Amino acid sequence: MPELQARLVNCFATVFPALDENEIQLSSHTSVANWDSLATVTLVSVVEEEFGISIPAEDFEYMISFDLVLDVLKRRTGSGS
Amino acid sequence: MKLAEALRIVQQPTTADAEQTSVYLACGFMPLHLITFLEANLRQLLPHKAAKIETGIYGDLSGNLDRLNKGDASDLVVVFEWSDFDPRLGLRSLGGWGPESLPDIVSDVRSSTARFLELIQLAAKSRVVVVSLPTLPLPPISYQANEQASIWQLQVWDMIGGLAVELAGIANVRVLNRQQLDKASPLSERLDVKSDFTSGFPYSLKHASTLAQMLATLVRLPQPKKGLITDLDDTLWRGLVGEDGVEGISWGLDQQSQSNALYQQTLAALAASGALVGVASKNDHALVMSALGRDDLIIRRDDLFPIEVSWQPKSESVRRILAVWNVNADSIVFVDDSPHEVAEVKAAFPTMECLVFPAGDDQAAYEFLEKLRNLFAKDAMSAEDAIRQESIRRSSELHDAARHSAYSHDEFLQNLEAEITLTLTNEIVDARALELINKTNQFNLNGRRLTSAEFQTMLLRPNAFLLVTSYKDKYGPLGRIAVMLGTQNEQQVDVDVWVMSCRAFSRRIEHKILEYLFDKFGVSEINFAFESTERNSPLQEFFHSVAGQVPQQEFRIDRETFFSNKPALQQRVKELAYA
Repeated sequence: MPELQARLVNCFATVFPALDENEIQLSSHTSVANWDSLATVTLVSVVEEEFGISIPAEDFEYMISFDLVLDVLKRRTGSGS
Repeated sequence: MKLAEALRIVQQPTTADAEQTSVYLACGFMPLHLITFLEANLRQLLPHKAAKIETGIYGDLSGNLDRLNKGDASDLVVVFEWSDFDPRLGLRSLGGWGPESLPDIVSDVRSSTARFLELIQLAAKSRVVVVSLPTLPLPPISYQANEQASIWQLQVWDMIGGLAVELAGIANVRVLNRQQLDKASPLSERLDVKSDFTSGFPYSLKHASTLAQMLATLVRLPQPKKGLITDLDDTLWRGLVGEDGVEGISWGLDQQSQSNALYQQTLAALAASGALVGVASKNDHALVMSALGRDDLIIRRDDLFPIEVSWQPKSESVRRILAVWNVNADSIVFVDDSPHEVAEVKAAFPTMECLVFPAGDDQAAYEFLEKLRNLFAKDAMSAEDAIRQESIRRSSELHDAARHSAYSHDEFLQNLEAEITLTLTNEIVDARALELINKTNQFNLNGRRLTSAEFQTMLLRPNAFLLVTSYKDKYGPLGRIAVMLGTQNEQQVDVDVWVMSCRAFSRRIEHKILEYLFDKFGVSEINFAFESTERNSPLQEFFHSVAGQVPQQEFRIDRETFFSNKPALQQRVKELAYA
């Protein structure tokens, strides 16, 4: 697993401790019961802290699954392919 | 602490036997990560308790405080921000920053401060209340240059300052020290505008973490150290008295030894605040006594007791001082300029706080004094603080006198002219009772520590009583030295908490307390919620002497056994009150 993705998995594990690594990579706000707006805010804060970036508020609405959060992260860190 | 770390701490399960303790966090903004940081810090400070944070309704600080005052007695943390005093001082309101609004904002802040003062006064009657006044910069409401303090800003700050002064004067209220927060969290790094807009949480993570750490410390203040043992050469004074002579050692600006003078001044202040200050020095005894006799010494010679001067290892001197003070090593600070001596004492007493005095480095010495002061920090002074050093000295004299007396121990006690004052009540009279419960180790029924809210709750039980004992004899007063907390019915008394200061040992005060309890309540049995701890062997020995057995857990003493085993008791008893 690429380093960026592995670190993001760790961020998810901190916010959603009940999920294992596989579940995290398949997770979305519809599949995780406690993924509400407060969880999104917490997730954003943990990701910002981990990667030392600032995610603009307009990106929040797209961050509704692991894959989409990863996309936002790649854009904001300049790691996108 | 990072947010991810805080989340991991709060997610850890607590042990099954962890005692539940809740703290109510009242604020007008969305508390979000502040809850996480506060809970994580409390978990670290209270590893044996399951700390939970409760909050009220977002945006309604007054209402939350009002509801709390009608509810249970959880300890309370109030975090104010500007918008609590007037919504126009927050970034989520658009009520106007025009010049015409400014007098009205000031007026609103004035009425808000009066309302909050009233609510907190009420809350503090039954719980500890920790208060953080606004920590964020005021928004740009003034029409004047940023560099110019406007009269409106000054009036608002002045009112908040006035509120802080009023709050700090209320018993049970602890106001967060702005100066300390400024050092740890720069003003320009506190506000997170994006977070405020998107979630209503106005703090940067770093500021929230720092603030929560300070708030948690104020909720559960660490027990202050009880005593300090200091070296002399290049510590209490500059120079070596054996080399430089009594007049060659110095402390003061003129002799480039102001840090040593400030150290003396700090020790004098600690002694006046109830800390014990002793001396351990490798030196010539006569020279040291001569140096300590100099009339320009800043700390009073009488504030230093005992003074152990010898050529033996420092740890031996420290051991003798601990015996005289009758305290445990973990409640003591040892200070010496020599890292070697500090290491030697630390090896002998691993739980002791052993510090190197930074001789020759004035900046480091100043920071050292700040640290020292904090190690002895306490919430409030009590009358006992003023007499502690003196009573230890008298106690030592008493034991010396007993050893050298031609009388038996019974006759010796009879000649003490002892008077015990017993105050029986069901209300918290002042902070001294709780202070004793939370700092006493040796004569302690079960080692239980209580928050102010838990103390209050125990006293609200039906038939609860609080028995506070004071003592004096011809050697002087010891002040309030014992506290018992329990309930009583027709048949028996149940004792949940019983502590007595080690200064009061060997006077049969504990026997007199039980005699009083049997007689006052007319019961046939006293039930003790005893638990063995690492340190309560003095209490266990007492129980062995009056009950004929060392208890393993909760146990009873019946009237007949106690009265047949108790020794002769000569103290006069004075009863003060019964509520």
